[in-house]
Amino acid sequence: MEIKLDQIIKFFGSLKVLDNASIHIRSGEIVGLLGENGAGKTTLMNILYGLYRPDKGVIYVNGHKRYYMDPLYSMKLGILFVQQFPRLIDSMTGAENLKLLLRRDKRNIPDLLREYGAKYDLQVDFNKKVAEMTILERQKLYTLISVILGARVLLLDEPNMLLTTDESFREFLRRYAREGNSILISSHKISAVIDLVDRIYVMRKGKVVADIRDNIRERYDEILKLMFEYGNNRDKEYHVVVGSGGVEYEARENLFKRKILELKDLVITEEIRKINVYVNDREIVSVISIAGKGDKELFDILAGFRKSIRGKIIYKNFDISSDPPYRRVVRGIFFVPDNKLDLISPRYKIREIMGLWSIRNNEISKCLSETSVMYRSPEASVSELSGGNISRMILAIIACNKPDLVIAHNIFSGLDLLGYEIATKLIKRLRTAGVSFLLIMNDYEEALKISDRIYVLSERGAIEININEAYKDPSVIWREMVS
Amino acid sequence: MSLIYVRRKSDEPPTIKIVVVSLVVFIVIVFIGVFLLMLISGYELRDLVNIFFDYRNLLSPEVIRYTMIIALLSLALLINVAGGFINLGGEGLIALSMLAFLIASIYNLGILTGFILSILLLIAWASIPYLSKIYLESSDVLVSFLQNFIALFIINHIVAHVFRGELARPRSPPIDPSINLHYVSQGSILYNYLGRVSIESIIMLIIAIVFLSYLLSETKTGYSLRLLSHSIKTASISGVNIPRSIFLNLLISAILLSFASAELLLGGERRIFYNENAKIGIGSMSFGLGYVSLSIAILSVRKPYISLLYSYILALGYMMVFLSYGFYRLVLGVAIVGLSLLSVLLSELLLRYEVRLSWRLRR
Repeated sequence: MEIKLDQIIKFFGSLKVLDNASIHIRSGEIVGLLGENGAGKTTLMNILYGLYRPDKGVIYVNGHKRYYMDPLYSMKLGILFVQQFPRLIDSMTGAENLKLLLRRDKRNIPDLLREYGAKYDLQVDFNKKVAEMTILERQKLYTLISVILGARVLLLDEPNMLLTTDESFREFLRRYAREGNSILISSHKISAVIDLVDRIYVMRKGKVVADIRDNIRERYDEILKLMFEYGNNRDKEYHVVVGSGGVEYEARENLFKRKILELKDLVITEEIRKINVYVNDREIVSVISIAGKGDKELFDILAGFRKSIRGKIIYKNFDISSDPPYRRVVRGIFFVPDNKLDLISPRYKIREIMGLWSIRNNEISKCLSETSVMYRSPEASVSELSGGNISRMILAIIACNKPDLVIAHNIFSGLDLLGYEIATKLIKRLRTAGVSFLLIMNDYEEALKISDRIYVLSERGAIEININEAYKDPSVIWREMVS
Repeated sequence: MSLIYVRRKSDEPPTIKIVVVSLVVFIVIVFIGVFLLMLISGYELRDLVNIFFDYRNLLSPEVIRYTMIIALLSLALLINVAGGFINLGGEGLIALSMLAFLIASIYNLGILTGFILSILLLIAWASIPYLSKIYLESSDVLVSFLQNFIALFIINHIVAHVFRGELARPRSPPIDPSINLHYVSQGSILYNYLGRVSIESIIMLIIAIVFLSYLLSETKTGYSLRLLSHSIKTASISGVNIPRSIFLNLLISAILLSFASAELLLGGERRIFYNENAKIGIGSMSFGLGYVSLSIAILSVRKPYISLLYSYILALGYMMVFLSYGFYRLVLGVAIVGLSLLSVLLSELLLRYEVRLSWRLRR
């Protein structure tokens, strides 16, 4: 199937989010759509799938002219969209979600799963409830569901972690494209797509600024420059101050000279042995895990969403194991879930979300500039923000809220290179100011760069790894993870 | 192949647009519908014209009284809706509140005690579906719907057997004159409009509209309340004290419901009537009041003051029923209230949704 988006313009209020953007996808191609957070990648995909209607521009599907799409029509045509935070029914299993989407299609679900599972060698647990899945698992699940639904054009929005941590997924994409299907991958992470795609479109500020076809692998620096080049005449409507740091950080008194958090003989699943982890005051500790191998369970238990099988969670010398989530928050812990939309409701206005965290209206701008969040106005809906900007917004709330401890699951997910730089600097600054961090991560490289200490989560429990050794030879982490 | 695609617009329409569209749609839908119905049922067109185009009906004390009752009930259910609680038991709650006033009257407890009793009773009753939704993941819609019938059955039973009045037909004794609200005096210029509405209810309605608009869109407490409707998970990791938010929600709702009930009971016949035809439901209330108010609550949850406009539209619908007569009154009544509601729903669709039609296209 051949798709062409021609001169697409889209406004959110007065903000021009797409400015004459044109892309072309041919059969059997894997096309990368690269750009920083808020460049317009997701909006373009939303238009192609039909979730948004363009204000101007034309869409050609196999040469047929359309002024807009709609999701039902797109699905009928075989255009399927795997969103950054896939919209699945949380209370249902993967198989039940598939059944729901198959609608009048009476094919036998177990047969379908066996057939497609064997064909593409994608490990997806269809019997697991979606609520218990990590974002990576959900993206993988929705991708396979899309294939079963007959996707001929697959739109993948920011599947960065999947692409960087799951070789079988990359292999699946290559094979799927070889079968004559088209794939459009949006990403802010060049390394995730550069050796996978046939062509790359680079977006900046709503414009497609480059169409790179040849020698892609050798043009990393050029792409990077195209993505992040900040001009002097940046659109005034964007509230952006790169790396500002307007919020003051007064160092707190070191009340807890030793452990602020301690997990004592914590049993999170029957498959994983006791976990013993501690976080000292003003320390950044990471727990690295393979996605779906205990990381979500650990976060949910720490947040109070589920009970541990055994063991205690000691926070500031109090046993908080039986505290409900809100009481843990009141005690000074800030939780960042894997699915950022579990923390930031897209139905709210930016001002309202900030208000929920006691950030006053006159502090919003200063606070959001701390992590260079791109937004139209505090009155704009959170649903207007890109996934990366939602991640930045969460970091901005942490910066202004200054909790005692942050427990985060994949805190850097969705952040582009600039966002990542801002985030790491911010976390280090906050640590100096007295904030401790327990980061549950799937990406060990990110964990190594920021942590004071690291643990690896495996069936043997949480094993502390000598960070100097891990720097020299990261394979020690892998060996421990698969042990 | 044709497809209809409906999507909620992200931008909230301006108030003036809401007002104009709602009124135009109401006039078109209700009047055309009622004209057709009356022509079919043999009503004289002249009578109809007299009912609908007599300007005195539009701002009559009874229309305003019903607007007040529906608006107070809608706002009470609106705060529930904002907190993720779809309460289908509005009528049952009103009936329970009436019972509280009746008890206060029979035992000479005074109106203030009546209000306190009513608020406590309503919080306890409404907390069942809300708490079971939050903690047991049951359906609030289903539980409150069932509770509605249970409440009405209980009240019917009490009126027929426990607190039965002196008359042959089952009904409660009249409410003691000491249990009363304050009304505009007959000599006042406002009497022709507000003669049947208590001053307390007017004040409460104004406070409620301003308070709820401010609470839900400007305060941390309001955001916390609303977060319960999005996701319990999100609310809890945002530090929302869920039990406290639920209690606050039910408290505000119970206060407003008590005023709606007081207005209905004390400003009307001052008795609770047994409904011998239906066996469930009570005769002191107009049919569908709870469901109609819930619909208004859902439609005006983003702008609470809009509930006043929708309440007025629905009050006009009810008034047409009261002013009509004859064999078809019940059918006509249901149709008018249904059409009024349809007009409100259609306005919502036109104002807040984008509807697209796609026609057959080759693959």
